[in-house]
Amino acid sequence: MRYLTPVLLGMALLALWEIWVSAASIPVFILPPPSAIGAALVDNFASLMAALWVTVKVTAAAFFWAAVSAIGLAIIFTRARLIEMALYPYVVTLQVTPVVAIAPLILIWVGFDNVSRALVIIAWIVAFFPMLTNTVQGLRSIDPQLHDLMRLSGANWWQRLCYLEMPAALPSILTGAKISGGLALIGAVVAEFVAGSGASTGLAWRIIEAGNRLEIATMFASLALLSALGIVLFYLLSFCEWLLLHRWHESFRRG
Amino acid sequence: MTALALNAASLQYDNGFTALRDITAEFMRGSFTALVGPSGCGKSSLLRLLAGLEPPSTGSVSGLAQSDIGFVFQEPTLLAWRSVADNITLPLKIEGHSQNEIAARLAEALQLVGLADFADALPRQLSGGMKMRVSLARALAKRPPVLLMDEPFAALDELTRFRLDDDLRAIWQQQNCTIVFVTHSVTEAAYLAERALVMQDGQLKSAIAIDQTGRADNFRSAPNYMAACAELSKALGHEAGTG
Repeated sequence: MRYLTPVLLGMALLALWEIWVSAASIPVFILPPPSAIGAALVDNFASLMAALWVTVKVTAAAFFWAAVSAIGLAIIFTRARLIEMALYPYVVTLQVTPVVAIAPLILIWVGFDNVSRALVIIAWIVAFFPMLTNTVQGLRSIDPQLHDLMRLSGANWWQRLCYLEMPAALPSILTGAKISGGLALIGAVVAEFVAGSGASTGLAWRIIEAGNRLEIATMFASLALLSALGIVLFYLLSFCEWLLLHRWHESFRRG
Repeated sequence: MTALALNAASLQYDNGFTALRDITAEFMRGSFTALVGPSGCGKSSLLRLLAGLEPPSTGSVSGLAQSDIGFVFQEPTLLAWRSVADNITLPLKIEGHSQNEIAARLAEALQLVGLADFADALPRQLSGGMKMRVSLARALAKRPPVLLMDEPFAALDELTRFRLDDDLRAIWQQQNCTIVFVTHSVTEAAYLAERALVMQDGQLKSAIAIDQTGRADNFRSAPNYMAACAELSKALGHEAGTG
């Protein structure tokens, strides 16, 4: 039932959409029926898949670097208070400045020789912050007695990191990862929009291009692929979370 | 032989709070000492000082290296993602013992606390008393000459506590280690230890030797146990009959 009900609801809504569009004779360039969107998806399948792959690569790279840099910085922050005090305001500045406003600068600085690197940097800026704050939060919430235990065992910093801090912070890190995964995709789309014509060939660019040509069905098809990508990303990360935590973490305890 | 000693030691925390004032005490090798006092009197701070988790602000602590100390915390303090066996062996692994040595010590520690059948269980599958046993086994697996225990059984129900008290006595006799046991319970102190140090407001108020006659039988109904309880209550400032 958990899977069947949303599928049935979706099918019913698509059918309603199809009937309504033809009954009210809404022009295809305003709102195409689902059947036309499906046809556009099939017709442009190869080029849409190539565009999807470009967006996947940008999103994945941005997410990867966001995770690596956020976890690394969080470890430094929790070890060295002074570095945190010095750096934190700048991290917040990077987070609160609208990325659309920074993007043109990054494209000018990096984009001339390597557009995809510029796209990754822009998406990274968007994805980075929740991962950082969640990891810091996870590292800070470790029971001080567990730190005492590691001290009494004579653990060095590397052992403390591997045996205590990383596993203890893992639930928070994975919560951050779920948020950052979605944001990396949003960042990739924003970056492609800003990069504009010729520079990028991802799904977001296909949306703009199709819009300019009034190929609204192709626009919808690209949009559907973007949503699907976001959903796959979310469930992939949720699955990783389940895989790593279900044996021991309270959040997976059955009520 | 003295195992641990405090010489005019005091402890002031960074926020200015003075937890311990001018404490001088000796803990003989193989002795079982209880530290008794109300909450906030500095018992746990004293134990942290003995463990080397805090340096004394003035005075000195002479004792052992941290590797010779087994510490049992107030909570089980287990790593939720590691099995019982992996929790017990973690300090040994960090200390770098061989696989064979670790396996032998694990078996021995599990035997001592009666958890041989639960080596592969995860902490969340255990009861409160069992978790505390794992914590005790982890401290014992180091084969420490000194065992420091910070109100380890305070959160358990009374029957479980009685049983763990008996087990601890047996382990102490078998292992011949020095134990310092912090508790706020007068009866637990009188039952477990040979000597009780009474603390109040960060100071040592008195040291009371507990008459051990009648140990072989049911000590909980022995008259000298009752007398020790009364004496300890009095030292803590309770009027007879009200506490």
